[in-house]
Amino acid sequence: MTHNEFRRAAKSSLENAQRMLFSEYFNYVYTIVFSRLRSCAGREDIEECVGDVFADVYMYYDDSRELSGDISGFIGAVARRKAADVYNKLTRHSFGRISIDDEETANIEAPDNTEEAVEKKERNGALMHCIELLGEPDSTIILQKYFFMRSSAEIAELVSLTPEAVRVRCSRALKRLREKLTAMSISI
Amino acid sequence: MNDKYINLDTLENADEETLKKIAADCPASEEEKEIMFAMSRRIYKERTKESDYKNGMEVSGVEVYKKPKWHGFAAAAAAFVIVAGVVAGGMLLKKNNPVKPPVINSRVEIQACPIGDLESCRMRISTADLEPAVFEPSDEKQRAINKALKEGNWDAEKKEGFTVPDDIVYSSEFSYDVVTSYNKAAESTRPDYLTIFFKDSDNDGRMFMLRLFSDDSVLYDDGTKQERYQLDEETAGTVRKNAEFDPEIYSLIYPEDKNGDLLHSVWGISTQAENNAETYDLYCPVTDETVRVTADSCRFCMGVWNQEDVMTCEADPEVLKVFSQTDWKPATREANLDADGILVSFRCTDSNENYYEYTIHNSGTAIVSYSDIADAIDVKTMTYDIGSDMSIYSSFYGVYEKTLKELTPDRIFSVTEMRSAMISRSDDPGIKTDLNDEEIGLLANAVTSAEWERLPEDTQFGDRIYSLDMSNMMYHYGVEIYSGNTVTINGNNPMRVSDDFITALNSISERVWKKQEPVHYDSLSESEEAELIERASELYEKCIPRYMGFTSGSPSLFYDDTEKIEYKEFGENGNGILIPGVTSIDEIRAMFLEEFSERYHANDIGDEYPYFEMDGKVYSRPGGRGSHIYFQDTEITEIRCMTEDEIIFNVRNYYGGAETDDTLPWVEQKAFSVVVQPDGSWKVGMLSLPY
Repeated sequence: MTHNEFRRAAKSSLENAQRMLFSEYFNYVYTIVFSRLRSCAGREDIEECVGDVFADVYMYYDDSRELSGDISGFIGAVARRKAADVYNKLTRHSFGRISIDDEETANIEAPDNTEEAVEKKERNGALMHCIELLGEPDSTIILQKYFFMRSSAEIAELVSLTPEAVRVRCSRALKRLREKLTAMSISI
Repeated sequence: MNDKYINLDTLENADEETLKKIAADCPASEEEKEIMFAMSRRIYKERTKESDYKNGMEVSGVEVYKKPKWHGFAAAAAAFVIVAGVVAGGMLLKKNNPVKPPVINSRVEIQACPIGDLESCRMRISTADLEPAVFEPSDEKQRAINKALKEGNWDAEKKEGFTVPDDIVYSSEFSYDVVTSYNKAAESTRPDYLTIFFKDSDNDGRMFMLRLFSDDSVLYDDGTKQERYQLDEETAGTVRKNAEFDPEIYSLIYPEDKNGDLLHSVWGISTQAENNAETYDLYCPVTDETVRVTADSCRFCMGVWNQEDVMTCEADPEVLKVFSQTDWKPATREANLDADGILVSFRCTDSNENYYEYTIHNSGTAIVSYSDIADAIDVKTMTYDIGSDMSIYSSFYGVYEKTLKELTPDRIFSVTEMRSAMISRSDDPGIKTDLNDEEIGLLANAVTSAEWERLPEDTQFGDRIYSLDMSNMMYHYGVEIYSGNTVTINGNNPMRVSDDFITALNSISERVWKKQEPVHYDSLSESEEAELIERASELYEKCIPRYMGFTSGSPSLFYDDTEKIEYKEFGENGNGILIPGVTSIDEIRAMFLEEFSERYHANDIGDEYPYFEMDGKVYSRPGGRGSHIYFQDTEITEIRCMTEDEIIFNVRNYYGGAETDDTLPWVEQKAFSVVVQPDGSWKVGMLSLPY
């Protein structure tokens, strides 16, 4: 959704425009925030942070400054910043606040050209590939359970199975995933 | 390594590409999204001071965002901040709203809040528009309502204004009909009212409700008594103001009916009537606590958990005692569960929605998990070694037997899965043959949809018309069907079955046996056929002990001289017999597949049992195999059919007879096949061990 599209939609209803923006980028923002905070924050903190990210984005859109083209990079940057801020607060490493007007905002993503970053990217790519190879619904179950840390009851609703069936499939899928990872010499 | 968990932390802070892939699996429900959207709007409005509050309240400060009550308390660390906020908020309220002395009205009796101190109460609110849903106002709003009610004037003598209609007996009974009709009556004269439900955590969970009408009269109801009061206008106004529903802040709660009790329902608390179900002690070694559970919430399976085979403990809830009598020693070494069969799987949920899962393995390893069902992330799992104690298995086996004994076949195969079955010919109940998976499904359906009626023990039976074998995971049921639709199961349990079952048997039997009729090949002379049968019979006879030897790791297969058998001790890992001349299980598998076709036997030799590799050598843990005590003889009788590279024979196995006991002899027809190799040699194809 471009800035112009947002403005056009906002002319008839600001809330609707915000809702459209929210719907389009929710999964992306949630995943960024979740992946940063999953180890230290409760679900409520994560939800609050997501709300906070979008509030900032709405405010930025109100502003006269123009953003053009694909704004997912900008939204991703806000999400990473906010999540890092919450992370620092929760882990008490820092109490600094972050403004999206920061000069650094545009350059927020971690540099991906270091050897370590490249290695991590490759490893994550291979891991995601192994998970995808499990097929549905197993790949979803594994990600929901071990990354998004959802309960079997919640996953059950998502994949239209009973919680017990989810548990059974999860345990089998985990075994298969381990085999695939071993075959590809990936240690997690 | 924890086999039940995988750490995906590496995906944290992932690169953009990986992130987008993960985002496709974003788990947030529509409801959660809605909450977050409302939150983003609220923060936005606070920051832009675009408050939607119509009551003139304005949020001060742009950075302060207070998490709504319904979000709960996420972290203990936040507690301090919240407590500090409560104190500060309280002081602020005090400053802005100095306590007014109560206005004494000489005409009527004015009293202080007659419903007691509400400080420790939680509130949920509903309005005529929201019913039957309720919402839980924020702490701040609850405090404001509490304060208003505490400091307001309550006129207990109010007689004018709204009265409860005579034709509606007002009660706290949870019935939407009653509530709705009551509301309708109220609506005609008083369109606006709101109901506040209170629960006092400091007073044994005392519950009551107040219904505030538009004339500021209020009805108090605690389920045992109702009283009416008249509030002063300012108090009522403050309550209304703070009880407004904001869809962007509050989520609606739809109470689940708790035996018609409105108060219990609103708070989601089980009522006495619900609690009447008898409960039993369940000991959980993980928490080292005993909880009370109902028999129907305790479910188990003999073997691995299979939804089709699940039973409850209702037949004998006392079985749960076995968990408190077991010696739960934490396991000291990692168990190899892949090669370990499961004896019993048990699952249960207690009244607090905690989930318990026990898996008892053949080796004595027991895995017990405990979790809060709503938050299964925090699963606590412990592995125990209960040694050779078989009491859990035998106790549950007792319940299993007891449950099945009381059931007719339709119920048995409703709660257990039919795993295998045989059916006789419609014209000869003395010979039976196997059903394939699809036919098993047809038979199971016929059994469960038929009507079964128990008959007296002394029932007389006519001629036998069908003979069936049906097995679930644990039991084998020999079912004999006689004329007049009378039935025996395993030689007794006389019953009568409905006609539709016999009709279904006719159809299944015809289908099954038709496939086994031998095909006549013009190109095959009688002598050629006899030659093939003779050659197959030799292979058949020879392959049975070879197959048993390979799959059970029998040393006689690998040692010409059994006196030279080498045993080796592996301490905690038990002992094994050295398989001479091989260095891997794959080599044994290759030897096996030299004789047995991969088409049917590719997976007959596993990676874990009976062979295992150690120090570059292969050992076996040979296990004894029981034999069929009724077995008499087996023979290949005819060629059933041929394909391009396979010849399928009919085999007849003969069982029973005077040499064992009085069991009537019977015959089973099976298939044996040979897979013809390119060089003309044969490998064993289909094989069913006759003994």
